[in-house]
Amino acid sequence: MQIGLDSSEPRANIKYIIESVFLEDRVKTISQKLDSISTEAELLLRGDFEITRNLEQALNCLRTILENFAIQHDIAVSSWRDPEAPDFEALELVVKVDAKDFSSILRLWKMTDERIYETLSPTAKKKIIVIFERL
Amino acid sequence: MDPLDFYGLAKELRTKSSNYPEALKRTIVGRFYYAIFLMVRDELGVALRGSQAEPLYSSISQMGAIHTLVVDALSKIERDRHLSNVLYGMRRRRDTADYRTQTLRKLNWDSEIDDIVSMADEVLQNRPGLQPSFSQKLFEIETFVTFWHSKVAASP
Repeated sequence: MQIGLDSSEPRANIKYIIESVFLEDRVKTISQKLDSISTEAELLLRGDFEITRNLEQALNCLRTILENFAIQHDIAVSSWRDPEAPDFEALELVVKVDAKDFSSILRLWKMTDERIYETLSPTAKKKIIVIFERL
Repeated sequence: MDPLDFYGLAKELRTKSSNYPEALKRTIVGRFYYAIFLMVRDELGVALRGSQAEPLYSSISQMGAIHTLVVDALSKIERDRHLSNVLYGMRRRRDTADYRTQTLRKLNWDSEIDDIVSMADEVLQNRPGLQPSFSQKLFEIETFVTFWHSKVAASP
């Protein structure tokens, strides 16, 4: 949601400022818990409250699963724009896990996808892409 | 040509040796990706056959944006959300194989091939359900192909 900074809308301005402050803190908290986050992804999150809230949810869900299975992991967030497809911007959640064979990674990936996407908003479902790789 | 011929070719190439082993392995990764990407692209094309979006889809199919469109189309189908991510993951690996001649850490290309084969097989196992799934969401997909076409056609 975009809120104008017009001085004729003082209430909207206050809401915008409060949301921005909380959003900044939220993005910082998310970043600290990740193994890495790209500058572009941080910028995207700072400008989008809905995606930030949904990413936080996805990360919590992901961590619960990985901790339950006691799997060593590394989580990174980056953003990707397709130069040939204007308006398409993905937020990549790259999960690297320690596993010998990729079939077990795929099973874990499928289960994680099923759980994560059922909680996300339609916009976040489209934007957040979960990718599993080997650690 | 059946796109899955690329899958067969990639399997054959795995048994061959070359004076350029890394280039060969990178080529194999690319062929596995293209086999699956083209297969899904064509299944979507069949689902759109006879619809208003068919000519628009045919025109985007020849453009670079089609890779992302296909991933995006799969993500519209709840049941196939995971397949959309798998195809996206395959594309990332293909991009590395084709474009990144210098990678930060040395990649194990044998393991890259093993991984992409597993991903390819995961999508292939679900092939029979793809077209019916696209057909069920036809209206949504038609709308989104029209939107994509307007954006892609407008871009320089």
